[in-house]
Amino acid sequence: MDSIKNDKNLREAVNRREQQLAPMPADLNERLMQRLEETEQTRPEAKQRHLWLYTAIAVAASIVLLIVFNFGKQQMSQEPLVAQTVEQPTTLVSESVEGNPVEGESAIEAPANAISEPVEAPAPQPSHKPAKKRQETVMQLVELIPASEADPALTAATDPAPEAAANTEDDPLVAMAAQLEDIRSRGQRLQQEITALMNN
Amino acid sequence: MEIDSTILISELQQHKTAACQQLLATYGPAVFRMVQRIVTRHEDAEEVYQDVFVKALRGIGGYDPRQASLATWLNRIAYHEALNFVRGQKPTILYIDDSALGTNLMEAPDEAPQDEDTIRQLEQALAKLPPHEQAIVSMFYYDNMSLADMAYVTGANPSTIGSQLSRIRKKLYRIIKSR
Repeated sequence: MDSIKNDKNLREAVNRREQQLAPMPADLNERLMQRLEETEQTRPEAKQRHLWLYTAIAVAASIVLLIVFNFGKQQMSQEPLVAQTVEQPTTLVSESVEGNPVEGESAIEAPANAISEPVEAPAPQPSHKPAKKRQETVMQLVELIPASEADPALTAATDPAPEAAANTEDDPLVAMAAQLEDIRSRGQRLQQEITALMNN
Repeated sequence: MEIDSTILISELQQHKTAACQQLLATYGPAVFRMVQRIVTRHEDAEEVYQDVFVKALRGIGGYDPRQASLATWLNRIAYHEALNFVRGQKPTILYIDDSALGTNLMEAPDEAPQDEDTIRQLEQALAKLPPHEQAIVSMFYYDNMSLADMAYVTGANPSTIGSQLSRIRKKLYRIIKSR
């Protein structure tokens, strides 16, 4: 370390190099002071701007949260109703009709048994068909069911109100629920007709 | 002096204009010198000098007098700010690398008599060193800084600084001899 310290040649070379460096400009500190003052002046404005930005972000976030929360709440209140109206008849009708497609008497009897089941509210049975296909099958079968020839009083009791019919145009789920209600009423009428035939 | 710097620091923390002016007048030239060792272009050096003090005044609350003197602390900011500036620029100058020099050449003399020719050659060789090595040599020979202070400024260990100095000195003499 001493040899490094005592290197007079290197020390002198460094000294000469340092002497060659340009002196500090006289006004540099003044310019720096100006810059510092400007920074001090602009700092509160920037702070205020940031405050506005944060407030706006907070308000926007709370609005979004409110919308999301309300939407979720609405969905939750609608979902069980749809499940009830869609699931029950679909499974029963498709299974009962498809179960005995050829035999005459049993084919008639089977739907009657099956349709009587919704009154007892059976547990949903597993089905391997996709929901959409199953729904299409139900719709096809519903088309095959003859239009109501039964007592108009019965029809009046089961038919949906005209106000409800108007509402079905707005919401597809409500429309589907109304359709299913119609299917159920037709089934009931069919059951009544079958019972009447059996009695005769 | 210590009491003065304590008062100065507390006044700087209160953002007093007079304290800022005193800081610039007292420590400004040394800081500018440190910047100039690394940033050679005069306009760039002025810009970096201003950045150093803006940074220092913002971070004055974090200054710990037990770690280093105010001058050393300012030099540390200047050293790193200048190096960052140089590293951010596109490299236009090629500096002599250790590996480019032969190892069989003569080592640095232990104590050589003052020789005008050697001084001139060393002066030219100094210009070929990378900026951070030039700064280390200047801190040691011109500013007469201790190894501990140099270590604080550069962010290295004092022992590393000692070996670095030795290596730089040998490198300078190798440059001279390789001509």
